[in-house]
Amino acid sequence: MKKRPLSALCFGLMASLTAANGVQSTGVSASASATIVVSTHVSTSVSAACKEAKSGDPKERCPEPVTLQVLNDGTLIGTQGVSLTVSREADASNAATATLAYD
Amino acid sequence: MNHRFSTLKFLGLLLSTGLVSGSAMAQLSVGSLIGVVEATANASVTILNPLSITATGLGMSFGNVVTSSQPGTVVLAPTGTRTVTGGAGTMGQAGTVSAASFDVTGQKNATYSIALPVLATLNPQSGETGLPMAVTAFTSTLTATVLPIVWNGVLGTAGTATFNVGGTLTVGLNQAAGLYTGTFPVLLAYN
Repeated sequence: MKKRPLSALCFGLMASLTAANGVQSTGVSASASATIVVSTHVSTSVSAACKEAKSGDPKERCPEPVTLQVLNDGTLIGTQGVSLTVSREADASNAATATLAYD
Repeated sequence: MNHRFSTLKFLGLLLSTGLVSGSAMAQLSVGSLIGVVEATANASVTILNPLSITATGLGMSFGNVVTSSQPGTVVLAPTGTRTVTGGAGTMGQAGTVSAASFDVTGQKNATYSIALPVLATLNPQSGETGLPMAVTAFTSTLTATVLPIVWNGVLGTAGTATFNVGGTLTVGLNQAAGLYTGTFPVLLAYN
């Protein structure tokens, strides 16, 4: 015998009860949605940008957060059109690590 | 009242209602029914306004959800707030987050019940390859009954009411990016 989904059985039960009692019933269908955004945990080097900084303070060598748009063109795997912010930290050799995160 | 006149009325009533056939009636002597008494009783009916329900607002929207290599859930409360568990995450750009909202009209001060589904499915847009996602554990701003899918409410003095519905979205590991949509039914009846 073909199994019916539990939801269908429950609805059938309520419909039967209301019908048996002569109770007027009605219903409506509502929409549901979700947008899935692929997680991106990317580390990359932005050492070139940091080398241009003049201050000796590692924090000031990479002072500005950078907002990127992931184009999903193969350079980065992400969701097209979603903005990212890269936070950067540089070590004494001016090698920097950037962490990308969705805004 | 004249007894004979009342008796004739009663005979007419029996005939008209089919309780006594014409031939049987012919065998009754009018005299034998003398002594029959009558009484009146009240009869009434209240016509209820028909129930109607309308889905309003933006529907049940879980907003933007960030996936990972672990499965997770997004719990959308009927108040419209969401929480995430497991590998599901949120982001600053929350997107549209809202519980489903419904307007009910019917008889003033009447109680009613709604039935929510056990399962709804959100499917990727046409042409996308993501796996369907399940929405379960539907909840409402109404009062839950013994049956987990049935919730009770009361129509106000104007014969109107509103309620919201939330649910739990299960997000698969590495769920493919994209918009997922679906529908779910709500059944409404007077108690």
